[in-house]
Amino acid sequence: MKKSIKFKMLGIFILIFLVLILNSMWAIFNFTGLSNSIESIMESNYRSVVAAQNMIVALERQDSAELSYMFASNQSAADNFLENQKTFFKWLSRAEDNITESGETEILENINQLYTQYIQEFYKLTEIEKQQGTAEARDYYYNNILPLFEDNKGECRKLLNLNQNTMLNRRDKAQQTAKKASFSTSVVSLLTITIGLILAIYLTRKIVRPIENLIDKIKNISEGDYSQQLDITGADEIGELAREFNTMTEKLKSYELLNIRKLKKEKQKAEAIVESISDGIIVTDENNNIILVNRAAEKALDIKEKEVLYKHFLEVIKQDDIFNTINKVKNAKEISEYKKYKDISISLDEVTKHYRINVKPMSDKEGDNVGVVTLMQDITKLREVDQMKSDFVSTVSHEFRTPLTSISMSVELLLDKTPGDINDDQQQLLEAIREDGERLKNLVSDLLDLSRLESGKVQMDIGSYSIKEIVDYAVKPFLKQAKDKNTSIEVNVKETLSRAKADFNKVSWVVTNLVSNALRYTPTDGTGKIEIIAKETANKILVSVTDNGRGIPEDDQSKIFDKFIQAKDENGETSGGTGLGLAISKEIINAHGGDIWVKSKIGEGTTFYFTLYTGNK
Amino acid sequence: MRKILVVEDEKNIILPLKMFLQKSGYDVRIARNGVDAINEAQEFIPDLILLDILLPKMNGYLVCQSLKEEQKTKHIPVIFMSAKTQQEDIKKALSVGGEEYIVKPFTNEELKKILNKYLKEDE
Repeated sequence: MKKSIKFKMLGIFILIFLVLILNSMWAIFNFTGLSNSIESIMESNYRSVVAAQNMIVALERQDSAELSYMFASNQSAADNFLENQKTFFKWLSRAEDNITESGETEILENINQLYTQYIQEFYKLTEIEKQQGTAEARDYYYNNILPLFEDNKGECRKLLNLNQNTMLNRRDKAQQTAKKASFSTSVVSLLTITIGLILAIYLTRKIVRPIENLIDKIKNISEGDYSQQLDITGADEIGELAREFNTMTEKLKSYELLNIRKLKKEKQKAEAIVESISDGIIVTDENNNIILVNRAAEKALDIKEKEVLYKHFLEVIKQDDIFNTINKVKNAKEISEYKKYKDISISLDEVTKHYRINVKPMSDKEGDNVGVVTLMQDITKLREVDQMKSDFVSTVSHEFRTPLTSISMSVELLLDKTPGDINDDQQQLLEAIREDGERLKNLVSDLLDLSRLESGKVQMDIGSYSIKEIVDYAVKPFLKQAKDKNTSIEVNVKETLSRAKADFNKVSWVVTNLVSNALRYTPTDGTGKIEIIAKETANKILVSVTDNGRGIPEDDQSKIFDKFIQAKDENGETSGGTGLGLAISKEIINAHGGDIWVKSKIGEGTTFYFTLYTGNK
Repeated sequence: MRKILVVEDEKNIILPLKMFLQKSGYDVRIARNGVDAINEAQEFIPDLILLDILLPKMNGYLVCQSLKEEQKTKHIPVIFMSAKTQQEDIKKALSVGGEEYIVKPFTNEELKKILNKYLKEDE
């Protein structure tokens, strides 16, 4: 059977009960002895004492009767004597039936003997009185009867005293017994109480201590320390609880270990992915403190992650361009209003590398900004390829020019009929050649412009100009053309705007290009409308060119600034132009430090925006 | 009759150019390389020289430079005509003594304007 706490407690209570029963028995035993001794006092000695007293009384009455007989010698005195004689014998026999003490028998034998003598002497006295007279009788009485009476009375007294003394002794003994009983009872009680207390304390400790231990360990576990083990052995409930507890903590430990291992693995995986990405990654929090830098970014910026972590971006990365881009994105309410990347160059150890900086804000579930991820895409190779391509385009377009010269000159000569007359068919064919020759010429010259702008070979001739002047200059050549196409051109630019930092010719080229594009796509039924607006914000001037043409499909909007991209109409045809205008415009505006972008909705129209810095020099 | 020396190696350009100039009433001679150009200039003493840059034997800059150093030819206006469109090319052409620089492809109209500018007043 299991040694359970229940069993243990029961055992201990039984033990306590046993001690209590023993205690009670001892008390009962003692009190029984006490009451027995008291009873014996009452029963035996008291009876003898009463008998002795009554015997004395009877004897004295007999003596009185004797005296009265002597003086009056009447019959009543004699009767009285006889009566008391009967009383005396009655009490004597009672005393004889109740012999309890040693010495009592001898006393009673003496009394019996003396009293018999006393009775005989009384009869002698009556004889003397009758025969010799009262005087002789009186002498006889004083000489023979009175001493006998005294002796007799003395013996009776002896009996009385013996029994009285015995009573006193018994009382003392009973008192002693009572004292002993109360002492021993209190000793046993004390013992019982002590044992009970010890057992109670022991039991409580035995049960409570492991429970306290358990509480401590459970507290530790709730704080995440799964190494807790209870060192409690035994077969009782606590022991069982401890074993189950240990099993539980073991399981928790292995479970947590498993979880940690899993998490660790996931973390390592994520880290490995981030580290192996060939683009630089910098993550900053909302206060622009760095919280992550991958290997590629370390290499690109010549920093060490562990040295820059939790420091402010500008404190450790001296790249204002990147920081400004981060700030711009962080503060932008609508990201689409800004160009999403910036190209920068970083020179390390005399090697210049080019990076495209992409910045993306991170939001939590509530949509609050919690930081920014900055991606540094190494575009050095791309740049080199781009350069090669530009060089190639430059060379090719250059090579186009010479044959184009002979073509256009020859065609013009033919059309001028210099070599001789031509018929109408010939004229039409020659005009077709001239038209496409012209287009080819424009294409070649745009291509050359673009490749030169891209390679940075074109220096901007920056001055401070009124934006209204630039716009008016650009729009003027279109006014007649617009009228022919039934399209209105509205210029909404205030003269009070700050001056813009711009290369007059290049920016007016951009406006020209935008207006010419707009004109190409606006309807010719009289509803066509083009509006040019300029606004001033902080340190920038925002120029917009809006048309109510057919709009640009969303897919094309991101591509139209690329080379040779032209919006096609429903027949899949482009509307003339070289497809390079927007690419050139973008290069020009970017070279000014501004941005250019488009917003368009199919069926409603298109708005092109560009920004320039203000400058009043 | 005004004399023009055309220095050009592309026969497809020479043909319409010569035709255009002759029809416009000029006496035209052609040189197909740099060395010929100098010789022709000294012998022909034209009123104007149309000079290509990329030429066999001697490039247009050097031709212009030599002509401007020679007493006999230094007064002759030199008009560069080239497919090269870069600023540095234009600057170089003007620095070696060129009067004008026209970029290929040019129209007959453009050419006429230039010719008028340098030849008309003296007629």
